[in-house]
Amino acid sequence: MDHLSELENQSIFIIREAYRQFKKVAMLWSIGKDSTALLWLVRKAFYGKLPFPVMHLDTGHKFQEIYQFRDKYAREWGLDLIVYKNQAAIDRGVCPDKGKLECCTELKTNALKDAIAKNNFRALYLGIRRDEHGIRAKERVFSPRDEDFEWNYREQPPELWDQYKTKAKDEEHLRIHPLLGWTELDVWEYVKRENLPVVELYLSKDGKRYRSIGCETCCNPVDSKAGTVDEIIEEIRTTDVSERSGRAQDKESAYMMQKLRSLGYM
Amino acid sequence: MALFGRFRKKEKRVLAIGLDGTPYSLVRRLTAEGKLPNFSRLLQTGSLNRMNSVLPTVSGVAWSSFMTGKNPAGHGIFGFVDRTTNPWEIFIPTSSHMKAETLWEILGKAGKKVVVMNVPVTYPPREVNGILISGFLATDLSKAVYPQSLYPKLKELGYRIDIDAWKARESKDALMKDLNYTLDKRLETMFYLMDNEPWDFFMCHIMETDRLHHFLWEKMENNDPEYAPQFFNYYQKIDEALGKIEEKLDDNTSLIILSDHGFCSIKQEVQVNYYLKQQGWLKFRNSPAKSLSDIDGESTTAYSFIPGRIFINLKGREPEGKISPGQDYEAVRDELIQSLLEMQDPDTEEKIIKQVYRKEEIYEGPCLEDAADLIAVPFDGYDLKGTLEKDTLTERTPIEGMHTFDDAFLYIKGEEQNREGIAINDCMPIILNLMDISASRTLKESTSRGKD
Repeated sequence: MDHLSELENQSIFIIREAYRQFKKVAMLWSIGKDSTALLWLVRKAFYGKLPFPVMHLDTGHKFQEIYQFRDKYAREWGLDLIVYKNQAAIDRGVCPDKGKLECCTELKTNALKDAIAKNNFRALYLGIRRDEHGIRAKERVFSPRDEDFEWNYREQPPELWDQYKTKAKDEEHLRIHPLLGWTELDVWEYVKRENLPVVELYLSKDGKRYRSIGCETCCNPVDSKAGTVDEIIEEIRTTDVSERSGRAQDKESAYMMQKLRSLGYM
Repeated sequence: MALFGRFRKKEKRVLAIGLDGTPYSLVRRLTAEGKLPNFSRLLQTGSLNRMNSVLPTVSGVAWSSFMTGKNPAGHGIFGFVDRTTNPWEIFIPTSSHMKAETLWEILGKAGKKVVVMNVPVTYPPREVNGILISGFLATDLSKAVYPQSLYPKLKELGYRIDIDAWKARESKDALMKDLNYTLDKRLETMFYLMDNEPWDFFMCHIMETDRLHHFLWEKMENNDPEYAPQFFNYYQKIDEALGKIEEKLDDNTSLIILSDHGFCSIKQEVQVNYYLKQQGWLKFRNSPAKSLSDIDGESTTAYSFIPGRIFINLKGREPEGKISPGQDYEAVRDELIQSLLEMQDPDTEEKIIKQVYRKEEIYEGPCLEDAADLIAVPFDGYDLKGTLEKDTLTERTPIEGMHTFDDAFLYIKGEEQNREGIAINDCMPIILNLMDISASRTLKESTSRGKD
């Protein structure tokens, strides 16, 4: 079996296995390339008809292109789409200009906490990949979070020979990562093979493109001439610029920026 | 090992205390006034040297020079913020960007045990032969400790990395409470580690003095009835700790106490980018500008980072570079130097910039390329800022104090003679020498202050 088919098979196995354990599940869809690829796999796993909702955490600051893409394909693919906003925080005036760290915490982390509690989800599918970010290298395919949302990465069962610990304690919810072993290149090759639609921000315009998309306020494009999926695949094969280099908004550096600002160093 | 240890030749140890931003002149003043009895006694049995800091004079750069013995082009840390060019963005340099070996890494290789607490730019913690607790800009204590197994103990001790400076901006009383708590816990932890862990080199850095100065320096200078006494009490608390430390010293242990820069009152904070914009050197596409990518490359010659670091919009280096390397670059630097030297305080017409250096005049080393093209040094009292969005040249904020270059200090117990004209990157060979470690291997590269 070729590499992509093998990845696809593994992911579909994980998706079905998790659903068998937890009926009360949802999938997080950021509308980015990874979670769109995941959505495609989930649709394949259940023969086109998703037995659970797809959730979009809307900060209100996403690119217009992302909203358009979301609405178009939610309709076309017949998704049960939940759009969740932390309206209370937005009403309080939380926004990137007043502090990016607080904005991320309120409009993403706390919004997700709320959404899980309100809907009583026991498990969530996410499209994260190990090669995205240093800390994600320690992730598991089945990854528990406690009631405070903490991830105790020092105490996780190993997942040798694809043996997964799929049970969770009552107070926990489980994060399921069917794409964990995929690389950025795998995703783009899959996009090409399956002819998946992607948000056009990924494609080069005026010499720049986004390698990673999220909120308009916190993403910057990188220099690139890759205007097609084929050209992106070629570029990723040769580049040494990291995928998330356009994302200023790592929590850690946001914290540091806040600290520097408090002391007048910014 | 204890049995053999008893018969082993006693090895030389060093205990170092860092007082962030404590000026030489303040130590002289407070000891003369009898406010610091223990420090006064120490002065009778050691040398107190006035020491130069680094350019630009910020703690992150100064302590990087301390711990590597190199000037900024030798270790690659040029400020609290730096930039990438693809994408064109600001980032915060950390220990992982430091391109030189640290004092504690060198000591570890020589078989020495170290304990290093709270020194800036040691986050994320790099492996050492002993213990390292990261300091300023470490995010979360659980990730700031090497080895990890020490974390529960630190938590139990109530140890804190830094005060919450947002609170300080709102209330000076909250600041004092926070400063006192943080210092108490730091000292408690220091004595715990000193007594319970093996070490040949022990360093505890006290960041709190810098915070105290930033928020209360002017009040201290003006003898504010409420806050000046609290300022001096704070130093007395540190003095008490120095007394306790002195009691613990044995004949084989040298004590050094040092700071990384001096302090003075702020007359004005100065927005250098606003000046560059007014003088036609810098143009933004959007206003107010929020990020570097708002800079209009086609019409921009230069932009500035805090404090006083000027980058030329150089072709082939900056994403939308305009100035060609070579003759054009040199001509632009000459013109900019003139332009910057003309900057005036609009209220008093005083000159703001004392001197502007071309990077190669003050730096030397493998990271020279990453340095800003010009480094502007202000007259004391004018604190150079690098924000993009401000629409005023000068302003005052709750921050009262700023750093000075030539007023850091180095105290060495047991030394009689003063060391003239030393700089903070001279400390490393001094410490290695005190510990009888041949510095030749590291010295070759590290006496690079040559160009200071």
